Amino acid sequence: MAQKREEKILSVTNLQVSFGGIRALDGVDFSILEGSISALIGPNGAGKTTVFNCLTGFYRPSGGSINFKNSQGHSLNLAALFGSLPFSWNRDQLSTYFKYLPNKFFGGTHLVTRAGIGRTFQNIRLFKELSVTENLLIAMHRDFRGTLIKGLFFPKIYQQNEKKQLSKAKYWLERVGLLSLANERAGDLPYGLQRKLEIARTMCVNPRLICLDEPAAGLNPAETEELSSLILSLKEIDKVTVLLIEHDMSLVMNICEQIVVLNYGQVIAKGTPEEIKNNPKVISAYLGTENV
Amino acid sequence: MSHIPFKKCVKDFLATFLLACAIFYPLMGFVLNGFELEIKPYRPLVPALSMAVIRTFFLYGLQPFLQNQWQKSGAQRVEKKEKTALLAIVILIATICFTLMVPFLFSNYWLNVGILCLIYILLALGLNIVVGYAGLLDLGFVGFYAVGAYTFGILSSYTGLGFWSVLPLAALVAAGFGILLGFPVLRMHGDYLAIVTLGFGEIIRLILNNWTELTGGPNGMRIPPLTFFGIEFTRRSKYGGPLFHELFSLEYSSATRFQLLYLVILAFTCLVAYISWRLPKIAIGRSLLALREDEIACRSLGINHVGTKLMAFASGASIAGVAGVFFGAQQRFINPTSFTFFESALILAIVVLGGLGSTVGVIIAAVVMTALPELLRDFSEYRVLLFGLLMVIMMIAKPQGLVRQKYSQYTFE
Ligand SMILES: Nc1ncnc2c1ncn2[C@@H]1O[C@H](COP(=O)(O)OP(=O)(O)OP(=O)(O)O)[C@@H](O)[C@H]1O
Ligand SMILES: [Mg+2]
Repeated sequence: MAQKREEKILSVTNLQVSFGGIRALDGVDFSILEGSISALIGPNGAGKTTVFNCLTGFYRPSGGSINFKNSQGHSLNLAALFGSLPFSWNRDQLSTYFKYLPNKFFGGTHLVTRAGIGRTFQNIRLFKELSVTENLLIAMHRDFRGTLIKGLFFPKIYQQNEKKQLSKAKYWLERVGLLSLANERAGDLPYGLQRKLEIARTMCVNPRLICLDEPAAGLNPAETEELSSLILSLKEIDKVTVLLIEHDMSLVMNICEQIVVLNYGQVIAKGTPEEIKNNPKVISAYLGTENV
Repeated sequence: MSHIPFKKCVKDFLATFLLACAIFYPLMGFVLNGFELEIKPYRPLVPALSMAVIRTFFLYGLQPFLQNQWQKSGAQRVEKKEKTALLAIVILIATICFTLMVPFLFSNYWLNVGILCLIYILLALGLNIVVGYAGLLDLGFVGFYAVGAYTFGILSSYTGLGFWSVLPLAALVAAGFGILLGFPVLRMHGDYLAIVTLGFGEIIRLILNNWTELTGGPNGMRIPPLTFFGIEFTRRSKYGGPLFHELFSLEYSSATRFQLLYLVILAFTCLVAYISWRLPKIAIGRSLLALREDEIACRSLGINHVGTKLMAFASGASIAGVAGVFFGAQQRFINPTSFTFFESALILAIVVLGGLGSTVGVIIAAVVMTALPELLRDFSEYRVLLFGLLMVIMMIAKPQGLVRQKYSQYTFE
């Protein structure tokens, strides 16, 4: 048991991203243990969201690699999913190369999610015009497949599938306390509940690593309290590894086991909350250098 | 107690209809013409259907309203939802009956207007999948309509294929063109997408106009007359084969061809309408809605946005392609002037007026927008003016369109 917790689910090595002249990420290295809660912190514009966008396939890094341990326990290079691995005559790599080659042109973001990395967004991205339940059902589109003909012409059979989907939706609605609002328009929910709904929606795609981008932004202290217990329950009940970006330091210090600090696209510190709290580099990054 | 017995409703309807047929056939089905006894198979259908509709309506349609009266004193109130569901069923049955009777009640002229209505319903439902569900603004939709019609024209004149074999082929070819358009616009949204699709529609029209050797250019193409699996509808046989009216011992009428065409299109329209109504309730359709709402969130949930977009384009296009074949079969002549940008704009106007994403609204709007100009033939010069006025008024009074798209409600016990 103890040994299992030592396994890395994600390792990022020498990650580099540049936008034109700006080097948003400049050699980022860190890894995350399976089943842990980790945080990525840093001042505004440090490149935290950019890391998330690389992890979930929205940006293609210009250098470095991201390895994710998939559900079979194999290490998966995310670049392979996008067909951007270099060509080689190695037989195993050749088949992966050709399998994912089309994604080089058409994008393979969805494959990252299917491999087990889910995410939420800094500015909430719910399907605003749809109902709360539908938001969850959309996330479950892969749970019961092969349903086009059944769905169109055999509604009775389809409804049995849907029952399973609905029971899962109900489970998550209860977890985040939205059951009584199940048929509301998602855009009409108060901000705090929208954040929770987004987390529930991401959990519906069965991720093994969930990346939360500033989940507590805009929440009041009571809501933040509920949020932190929700995040802890994700780890305890659902056995999901959590990686979060957060500016609320008390939340980070309370629930995280490991913290990675970014500044100007570089990792300036890694370690436990205690270590980070007392790290002079981190203090100067947040407060500016002290002139004594 | 107030639950609507839908099955019983249908059963009663059918029973009444059959009984009425049994009564009316001997009474009205035969006409003595001189010394000949003529069989008129359609005549009794009208009173029989009306009887069935009226009886079902009085048996079930009024029930909830009456009950509501009786039960006012505190007892269980009839739920509003059930009442509207029942009303919807009654209206649906009445509409189906009416549309089924159209070819046998009206003149050839109105029959053709009916066919045109159905074609526009098809087009609007196809565009509704692309614009209403997937949120991809397509201003060149008429291109696929043209592809369908010209597939019919080209295949029939170069390979001799008939209506029935062209039908699935045209759907496939149009779907192929849909995918062809889909690829370059995968990363486009909003205005950019609109401009590119507009260009696509124009390119298709210009190709048809200028590729004279293949398409006949502005002179257009002739489409062979519709046959019933090789059986002709003409008065006299051209190739010596059997004739439709002889085979079914009917009197020859020039309308028979259109009656059959109407029924075929009606069947197809019903199928498409059903699919379009059902789509947002199943996983694939929901992915379309999600794509419309937020593409980035879609991708983050593992939805293949490329495949979903292409599917939307392809399915919309194939419906338009089939509509094109129907158009060809009705007109028996096609040329590029039938496929101008005005048509695209008209179809889009129908979808917007009906309410983006609402199947029922789109159907109603299509009927109104196609039948209205026919009713106002005398003012045909002011047609576009009227459309514009209608659009302005609608957008002020009901910006969501005639019928606002409603999403399924879920109950958790
Ligand atoms: N698509 C893009 N194009 C150009 N520059 C970008 C893009 N995305 C991010 N950047 C730049 O990269 C840098 C890092 O941005 P990022 O969004 O990752 O910051 P962040 O750490 O998430 O900040 P915040 O705490 O404000 O969310 C910024 O300077 C930003 O301007
Ligand atoms: Mg950010």
